[in-house]
Amino acid sequence: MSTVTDPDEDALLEVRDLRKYFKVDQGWISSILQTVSRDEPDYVHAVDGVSFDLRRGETLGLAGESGCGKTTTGMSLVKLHEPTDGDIIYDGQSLNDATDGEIRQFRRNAQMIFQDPFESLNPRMTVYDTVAEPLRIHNITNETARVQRALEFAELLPAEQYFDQYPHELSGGQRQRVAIARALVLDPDFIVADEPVSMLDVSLRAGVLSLLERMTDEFGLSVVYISHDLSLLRHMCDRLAIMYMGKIVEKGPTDEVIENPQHPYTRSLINAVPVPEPNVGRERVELQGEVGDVIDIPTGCRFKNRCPEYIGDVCDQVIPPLEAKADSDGVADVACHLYESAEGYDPYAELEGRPSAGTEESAGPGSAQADD
Amino acid sequence: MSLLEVENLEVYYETEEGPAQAVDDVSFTLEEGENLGIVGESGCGKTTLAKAIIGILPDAGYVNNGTIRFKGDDLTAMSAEGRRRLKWEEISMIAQSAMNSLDPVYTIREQIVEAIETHRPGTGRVESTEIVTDMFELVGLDPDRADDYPHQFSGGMRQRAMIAMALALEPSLILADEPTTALDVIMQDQILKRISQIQDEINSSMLVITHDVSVVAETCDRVLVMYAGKVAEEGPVDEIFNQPYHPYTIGLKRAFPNIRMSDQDLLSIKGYPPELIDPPEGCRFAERCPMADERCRVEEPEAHYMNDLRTYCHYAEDIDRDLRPRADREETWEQTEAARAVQQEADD
Repeated sequence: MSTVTDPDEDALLEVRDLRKYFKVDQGWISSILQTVSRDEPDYVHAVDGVSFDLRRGETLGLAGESGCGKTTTGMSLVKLHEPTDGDIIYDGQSLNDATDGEIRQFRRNAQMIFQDPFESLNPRMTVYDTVAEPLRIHNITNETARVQRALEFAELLPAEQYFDQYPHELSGGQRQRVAIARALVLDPDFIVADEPVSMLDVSLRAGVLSLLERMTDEFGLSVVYISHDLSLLRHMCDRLAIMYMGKIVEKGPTDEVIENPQHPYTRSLINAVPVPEPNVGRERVELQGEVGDVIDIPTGCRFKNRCPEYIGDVCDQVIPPLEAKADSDGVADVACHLYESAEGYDPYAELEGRPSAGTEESAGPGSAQADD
Repeated sequence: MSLLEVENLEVYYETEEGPAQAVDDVSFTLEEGENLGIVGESGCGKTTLAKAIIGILPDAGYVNNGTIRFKGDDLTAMSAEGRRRLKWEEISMIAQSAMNSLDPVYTIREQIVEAIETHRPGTGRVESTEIVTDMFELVGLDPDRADDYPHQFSGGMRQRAMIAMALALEPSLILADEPTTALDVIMQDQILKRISQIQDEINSSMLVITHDVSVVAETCDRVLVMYAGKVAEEGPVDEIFNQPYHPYTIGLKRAFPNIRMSDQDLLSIKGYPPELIDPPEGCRFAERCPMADERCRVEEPEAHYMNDLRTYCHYAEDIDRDLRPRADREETWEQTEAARAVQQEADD
């Protein structure tokens, strides 16, 4: 892989145009008919061109509604899915070009914590075996001491008392702590945590969250948090990426994205979050319709049918790239034609039946507000 | 006369080790047009309370003592037939999982029409069809899709169909048990907005049962905080959120992230709620409470009235001086019997 692509010194993981499509299972009759008629099979475009960097020691939040592709992205990051297209560059090394040994090394350094600790732990394995299993797979010695240390870190104390217990003997909070201990036992570089507390009772969430925070601080880990809960992500993350129908629509520092959202979808999403304070009014924008079809992807912007700021043909026909904007009043990258590209990209040049020349002057409707 | 008066209600579940006291001596009233939120962690008895009110307790559950008066009539003394008549017509329920509440083999229209015809015999097909159309429009569903089966609807649409069904007979009391927990935030917001619009139109009261304090803050007039089957604190939503007097409410409030705040510290209340089969004497929160002393462990607290709040804490009068100034510090919540027990085990 070439080393020309922007060398962000700090990036542990560079995700480049990641795509993951799933073939739609239509049953055998239609699949035979399809073979006969030589039609293209249908695909669910779960993740469709996602790029971002994960810096060392950083916590990045992936947010969005059900079906936006955030979990598929997370699972691709730790190689639980093989991407359809695109690349992940880990520590300067392209995973597409990596040898088996390098992949094994990567798997050791990339761990995942799942949403449901009732399903993610094997009910027939004791706590000790659950946490020791990754060590055995990777032939790492000094097993007992490592398991003990991981359990102690996860505040399962005294650790020995948990060794012989089975998942059904533990509470939800304790199970999720076992899952965290298992993820940490290999001393990974980064962790993907998919809705790590959404299955837990409210009173237990704060405890597991503070454990996750301690994990980031003490191990210097990079963490990708996947959640639909923006209040939680605001609390946990340095940066935030908002996804819609398989694409990132906005990406930037957490406080910036939450307090000063630029993309119309981000605005609706943040405005819909209830606030635990009575009488705090919030502006409610009611979005029309539901999330669109990820099989038959619409042209142009995927949010256009529900967008309260729809500005016509350009939204219909040109896919808005995620980029820095010259005239938005934030620092986040935004994928929306409302703002003018900071890098000189002109979406109007791509509009069908329209001359590209001379459009720079009258570019985006937002260009009038540009003050720099 | 209040719409709903619950007095000294005890709901027990029969278990092999003896009765579990899921709801223990709970009293509250709900006025017409008022929304009451019931919050508390899993197992605090909030869903059991709702089930007892609408009369759908599982076989092992029974009302041990107390009364539930709805428009003056005691529901606990009413015949099964009498209660069935009230269901949907006067008291309806929006359950958490719409998929399990809709019958998969009937279309949505058939299910709503059946409910209407059962409760209002003589209602013609034309009239019931009109009601279905009106309700669908009210919850933001396309009336043309009323002839679809539940599986043809998305989760958000099913939840809205469920709400349409619960509201079709314009009940005076709606029990909403985690009505939006299974939904995405945008859908949740739309549905809560719809429910409150409909409520305004038909002037019904609502009990909102949820673990999400933000939903309560935005939809309710009053809040009842439950802990281990008992009322911990009850009062107007402003006071519960801004100046609560029960240590449990004070702790609970700090366990929630708020999207409007950057850099907040989340605090957890160490330990777990007590067993309900043989609950401890005294205050049930004592083990996890930073203010608890010997008295709390033996003597059950009476109601204390602080401003407009009803608070079950011996030391409610001392909260302003004692717990409130230090409630934001993590050390405060380490000074409990439950936290010390965890520490003790770690040291051994």
